[in-house]
Amino acid sequence: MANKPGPEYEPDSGESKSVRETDPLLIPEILIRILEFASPGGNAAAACVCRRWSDPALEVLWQDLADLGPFLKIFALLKNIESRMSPAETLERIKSYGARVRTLRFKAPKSSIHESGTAEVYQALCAGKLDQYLPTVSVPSSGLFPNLRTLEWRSEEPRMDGEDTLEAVSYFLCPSLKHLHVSGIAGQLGQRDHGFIWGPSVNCAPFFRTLNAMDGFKLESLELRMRDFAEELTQDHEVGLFLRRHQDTLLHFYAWTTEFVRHFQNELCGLSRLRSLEVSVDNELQASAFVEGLAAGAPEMESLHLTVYPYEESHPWQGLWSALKRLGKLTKLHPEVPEIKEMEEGDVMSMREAWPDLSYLYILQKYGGWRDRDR
Amino acid sequence: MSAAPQVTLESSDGEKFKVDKEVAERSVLIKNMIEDVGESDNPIPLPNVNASVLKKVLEYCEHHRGDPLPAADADPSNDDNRKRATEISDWDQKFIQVDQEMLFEIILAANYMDIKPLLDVGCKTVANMIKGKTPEEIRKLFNIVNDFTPEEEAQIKKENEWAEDR
Repeated sequence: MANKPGPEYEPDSGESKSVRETDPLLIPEILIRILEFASPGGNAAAACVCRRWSDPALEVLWQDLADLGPFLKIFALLKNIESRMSPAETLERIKSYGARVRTLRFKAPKSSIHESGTAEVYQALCAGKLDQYLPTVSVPSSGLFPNLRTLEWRSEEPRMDGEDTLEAVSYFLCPSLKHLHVSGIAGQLGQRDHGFIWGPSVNCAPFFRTLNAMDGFKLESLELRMRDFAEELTQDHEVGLFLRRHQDTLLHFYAWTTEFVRHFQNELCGLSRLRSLEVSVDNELQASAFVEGLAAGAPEMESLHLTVYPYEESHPWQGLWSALKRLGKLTKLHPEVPEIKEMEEGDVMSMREAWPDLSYLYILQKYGGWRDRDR
Repeated sequence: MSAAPQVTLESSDGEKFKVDKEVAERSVLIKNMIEDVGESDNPIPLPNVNASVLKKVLEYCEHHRGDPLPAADADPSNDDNRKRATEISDWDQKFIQVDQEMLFEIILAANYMDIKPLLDVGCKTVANMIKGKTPEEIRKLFNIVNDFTPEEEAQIKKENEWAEDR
C-alpha cells in the first residue's frame, strides 16, 4: 500500500469527479447495471427512450439470444426499407445487432424462424445465400456475430440435412468462440445396413476447414451431435489439424460417431487439458487402447462417456476396466459396454478405490451405487 | 471486552458520523482509505455525500454489517449470479422505499463509496420502475427528452418487438 506522509485522509481524487453527476442515469456504468436487472420487455422499451439509453439497452437485450428469429427478423425488416437505406447503412445495422450477441442458443423448430417474413431469411441462411436475400448488400458469409462466445445450435428440422446445418452454423463462426455445440438430425431418412434408419452421412471436413481457417481461434468445448459422419472425414486432415491446434485449450469434446476415435485416436489422446469426453468406439480392444492413451495424454479427465459397440467376438472387459482405472480423477463415468453384466460386487469395491472422487457411475444403477448422487 | 474500533466519517456538509470500523468498511472506498492511511482519529471526508444520504447509507451498512463481502467484481461468473438474483429482500425493500431523488442519491453514493450490494438494491429498484412501461412513460418518469426521429424510434421498436411481452 502507498505510504502517505501523515495520517490525514484525502478525498478520493483518483477519478475526475470534479463535475458531480446528480443523475445516476447519466453515468453509463450505472445505467447498464440498471438495465441488466430489467426484463427483456423493459430493455426493448428502454432502447426506444433516447439515444443515450438505446445502445446499452440493446447490448443487454441481445447479449444472450435464445432464438435466431429476432436476428433474422432484422434482415426481413431491412428488406422492407431497402430502398430507403443505403447498402452500407443496412450492413452496418446488421453488424451492430450481430456484434451485441455473446451467446446464441438456437433450437429449431421450436423457434420463430418460420414466422412470416423470417422463414425466407432462414432458408437463405441454410443455403448459404444470405447475400442473395439482400442483393444490394454484400452480407459476409461468416463472422456475423464477431463477439460470440457460446453457440448452441440444435436443429431438428426434417427438411434439413446435417451439411445444411453445418453450412448455416458457418455464418456464425468467429475467432471469439469458446463453446460450440451443434446437433442436427440428418434429413432424408433411409435404410442402412443394420436396420437403423439414419439420415445420410455428413461430410464435416468443410466445416473443420472453416474452423481451421480462423486465426487466433481457440475453442474450449466442441460438441458435434450428428447422426453419422461420412468416410470422407477419415481422408481429410482438417479434423486432425483442428484437434492438434486446440490441444492446449479444448476442455470438452463430444462426437458421437466412431470415426473420430478410429482415425484421430492420437490427436484425441493429445488433448492435454481435456476434462470431459464423449465418444464411441468400435470394439473393446480399441476402447482399451484408447483409454490407455487418454490416461497418458489427458490425465485431468473428469467425465467420460464411452460407448463401446459389440464386436463379433466377445472380448473380456477387464482390460478396459484396468485401463479406465488409470484415469484417477474421474468423477463421472458412463460406459456403455456390452459385457458389463458380468460385473461382480468385488469389482464395484475396487472401483471405489480407483476413483475416490467418483460421484456418478451409470452402470452401477443396479448396485444402488453412485448414480445421480451428486445431481 | 474491548470496544469495537471506530472511525469518523464527514459528510459534504460537514456533519460527522462516528461508526464502527466494521460498518464503515462495507464501503470499499473507505476500507481502502483506512488501509492506505492506517488508523487515525482524523475524520474521513466524503465530499460527494451529504448528511441525509450518508445517514441512510450507514443505516444500510449497519444492518448488513455481518454479511459476507461480495467477491471482486472482476469475476464474470459472479456477475452472472448478480444478474439472475433480481429479487430484493424484505428489509432492503423497506429501506429503499424513498422518493426518487433520495433513491438516485443513494445510488450515486453507493457507486462513489463502492458498496456493490447497495448499488444493486438501488439499480434493481429502478429496473422495477421501468417494468411494463412504454418508452414515453419511462421518459416522463425520469424526465428524459426523446432525441429520436419518429422513423428511428419506429425502426428500433420493430426490431425489438420480439422481446416486448417477456
